[in-house]
Amino acid sequence: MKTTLSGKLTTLLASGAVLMLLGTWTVQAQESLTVMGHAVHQSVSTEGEGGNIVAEFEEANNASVEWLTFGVTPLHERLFREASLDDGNVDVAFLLNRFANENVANLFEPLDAYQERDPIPEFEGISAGMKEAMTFDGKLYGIPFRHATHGLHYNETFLAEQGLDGPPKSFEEFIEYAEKLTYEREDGTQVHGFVLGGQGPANIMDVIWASGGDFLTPDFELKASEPGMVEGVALLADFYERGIMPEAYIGFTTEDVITFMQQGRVAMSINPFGRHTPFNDPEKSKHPGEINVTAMPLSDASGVAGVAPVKTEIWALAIPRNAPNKELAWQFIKALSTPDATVRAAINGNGPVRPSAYDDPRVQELVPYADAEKLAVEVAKVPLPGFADSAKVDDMVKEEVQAALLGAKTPQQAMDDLTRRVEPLLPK
Amino acid sequence: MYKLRWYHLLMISPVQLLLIGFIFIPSIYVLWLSLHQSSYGTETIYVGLANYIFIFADPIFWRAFWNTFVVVNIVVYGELILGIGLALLIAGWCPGKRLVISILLMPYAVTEVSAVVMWRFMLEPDVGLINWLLDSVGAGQISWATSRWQALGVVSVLSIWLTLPFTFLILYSAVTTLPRDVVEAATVDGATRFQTFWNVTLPMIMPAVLVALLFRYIFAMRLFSEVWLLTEGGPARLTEVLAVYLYRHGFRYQEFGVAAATGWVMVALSLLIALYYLYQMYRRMFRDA
Amino acid sequence: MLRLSAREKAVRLCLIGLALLWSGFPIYLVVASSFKPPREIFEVPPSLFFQPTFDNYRELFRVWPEFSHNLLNSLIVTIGATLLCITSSALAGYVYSRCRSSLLTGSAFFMLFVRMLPPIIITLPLFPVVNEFGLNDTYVILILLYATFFVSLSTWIMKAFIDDIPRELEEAAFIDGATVLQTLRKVVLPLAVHGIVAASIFVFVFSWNEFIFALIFTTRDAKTAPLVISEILGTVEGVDWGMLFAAATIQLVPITIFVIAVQKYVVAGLTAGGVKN
Repeated sequence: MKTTLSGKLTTLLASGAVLMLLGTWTVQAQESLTVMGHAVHQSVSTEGEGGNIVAEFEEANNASVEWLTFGVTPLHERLFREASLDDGNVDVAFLLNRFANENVANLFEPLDAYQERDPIPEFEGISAGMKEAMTFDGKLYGIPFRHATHGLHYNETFLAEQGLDGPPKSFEEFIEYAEKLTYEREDGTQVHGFVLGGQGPANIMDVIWASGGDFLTPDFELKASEPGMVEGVALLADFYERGIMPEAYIGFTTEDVITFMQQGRVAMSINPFGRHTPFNDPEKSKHPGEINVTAMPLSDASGVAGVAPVKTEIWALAIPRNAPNKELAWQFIKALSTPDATVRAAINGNGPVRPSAYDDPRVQELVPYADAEKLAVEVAKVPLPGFADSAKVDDMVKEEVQAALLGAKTPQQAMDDLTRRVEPLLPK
Repeated sequence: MYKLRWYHLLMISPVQLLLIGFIFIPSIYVLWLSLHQSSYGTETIYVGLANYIFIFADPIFWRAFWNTFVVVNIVVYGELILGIGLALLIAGWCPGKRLVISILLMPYAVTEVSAVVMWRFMLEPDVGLINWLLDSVGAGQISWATSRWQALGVVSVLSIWLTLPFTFLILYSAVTTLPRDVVEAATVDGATRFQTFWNVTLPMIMPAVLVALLFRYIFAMRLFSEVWLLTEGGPARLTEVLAVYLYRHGFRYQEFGVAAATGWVMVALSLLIALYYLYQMYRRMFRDA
Repeated sequence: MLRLSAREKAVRLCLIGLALLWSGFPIYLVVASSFKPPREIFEVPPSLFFQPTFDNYRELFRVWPEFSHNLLNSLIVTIGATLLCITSSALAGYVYSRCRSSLLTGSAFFMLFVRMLPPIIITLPLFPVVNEFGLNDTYVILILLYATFFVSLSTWIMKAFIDDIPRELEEAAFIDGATVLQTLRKVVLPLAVHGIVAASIFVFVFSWNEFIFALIFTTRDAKTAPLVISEILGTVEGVDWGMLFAAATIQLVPITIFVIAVQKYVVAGLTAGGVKN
């Protein structure tokens, strides 16, 4: 007994030591480029009918690309940690505009000089608004690669069941639709008329803008207490109180919205155009092929029939200040940003940052909503300009809007409180 | 007792070095950090106690404080009561005892992430099993997404579910070592069951109760994943607990100073709560055997 | 043993049944749902009888082919952390059991005090240092961290077990000229084997399930299984519940079996010495 046990312990200890050695032993490949992003960036640039753009880059530059992919929030937390080290390990990173601000920008290379020296072809073809979202202090810190722009998704079966013909053509009609689409189906399923993805500016701005209001302009003018925004919040509170939006909406994450659409428990939702695919996924959706998407209509009060400004989010390619291989990093960014690469990534499922890509016949054929998305992209805006405390302001909007929805405050009170809290955080 | 020799010190050094290197030194750095304003891409500036003043003046901090206070106490004492009850129940007449204990221990093996997945799945509005059952007997639904106290209730239940096995094990071990004749003698003497429990059983298992309490307090204080994955502290930051407050400032707002100060407030609180238990442990551990 | 009436037995059975339902049902639900076709998962009332399918598992390994590698990582890290933790705690536990001095009392208190720090905060200062030593995304850093957070508890348990071992046995060994380490290995530890198992379980389960440190200190090579579960939960394309349940089931089943297998040792172990002094 004694000898066996000590023998076992010794073996175990020895194997533990070997394992620890294995862990530290890493192999360095030559001319490797480490790219940090979300899994979706890897898939749109390497898989699909548009072909593997990255493989061509690797061949042309005799390099090998190492992908490190994470979920959205962990990706940024990790990226900023990596970028603040003395010696970095990441060459190129995908950065979401929501996480960028003038402080964080200090961790990345300004790219104007790179562009001047070795320009991306047809650089002006990339949406100016998207480049603006990555500009801090007059310097460009990221080259837009992907956008997620919002459209109005609607379940055609439910519209037909309630005798509605085609998607709403104005914001007023949209409100009517939302009311009518809140009903119980014959099989007893409760359908809710409408749902948003969340309560922060990233999700409520579409309704605010469509009702003619605004929250924070790009030159930091705060309009939260003005009638437009208050009316938008009041509309949401009314929807919530009347059950047009499901009660659980308050705690909703993106995943819940998708589940609700797939389960046929909600008839309309404002979501990125790209959600069209999961909504109609025959594997998971109870309504495959029945959920369509269009651009959000403008209010009648505007006097013109047209498309309302919607929220867009932009992923941009950036080079950390401490990147080991900045030159190769720039080559990678260039390779992903040519007009041809933009089209091919779009075919692979990317939201193209060059509006011209929507006119490409291959994109037209593969993306059923290309025309509607192009219309939306032309007027889309980022929900908040990036500044040091934007994450905090984001949370405050969420908090105050939730207070209004729960009836703890009137919409006017909530927005007045919001104004009071946000004002001191704005850049002078 | 042996005299303490140099090689004894060598023998405790691996444990002490791990603790010093990975917890103590970093935490001293965190103390330093709590006196500074620090974020990515900016200069670190000494600000004295400004971070502490900020959090003590922040109503959301106090809400997080009270939420933590309530949840920790519900969880720790809830577990204790359930744990003692279960220990007494299982230690008595119980068919298939080993199998029963096995099943009772299972939640202990579940990672927090999976546990949240399970309970969210059962509490999904309309379609989750628990909500569906409650709804069909006309009891209404648990709307953890909209109500502060219901959300904190769900968080407490989830935490209890996850860690009850730990408490149960400690108490069960203590109960099974009770000398049966003493307990039976008390019963034969005509004491009611509650009297027997209160006057005989409880004092005898008190050391185990203290161990369970001490460890559960230390761990429950840092309650994070359950709240973060369930509500992210919402709606309207009503369900935030201290660790979520810390996380929000440190990782979302990148205000490392504020996060560090919150961390030290949490340490101080843990110490304060544990002081009494520490003292008891100390007496038991080092009274001469 | 006092005799129980039939009524009392029935009450006890009911209570035991409730306790089993409480502990086991959520786990059963996840495991069962992992074998359901994705669209049936949200059926109300939940279908109790269904055609079991492995679709979710096939899908899991198609979409996350690296999951098996992550499981292996979890296993390596868990075993490494357990070995390190138990070895160092056995050494320390012996000293705390056999020697008295104010220095030891102080250091025992230090052990407890230091454990009160919320782990999440120390990741802030630790990250740059870990990177400096090239330990990011390696097994070593996770092994060291996981062991660290359980050496206090394990030392405590080891001390309690060693307290129960009569010192006469060691003294005989010392007289024969054995060193402390030899005595510990050949005389004390073999008698404290229940303590070793009991102390191992806590660090083992913790390491297998740990999430925050793994999130911060691993990127790809050393990534562990719980991270993958959280990633499936957080995909932008919407949660694939079927895949999520399949991953959770795979991660959960081995550790549950382990806990059940060593259950006897834990209970016997804690009974023998864990808390009684």
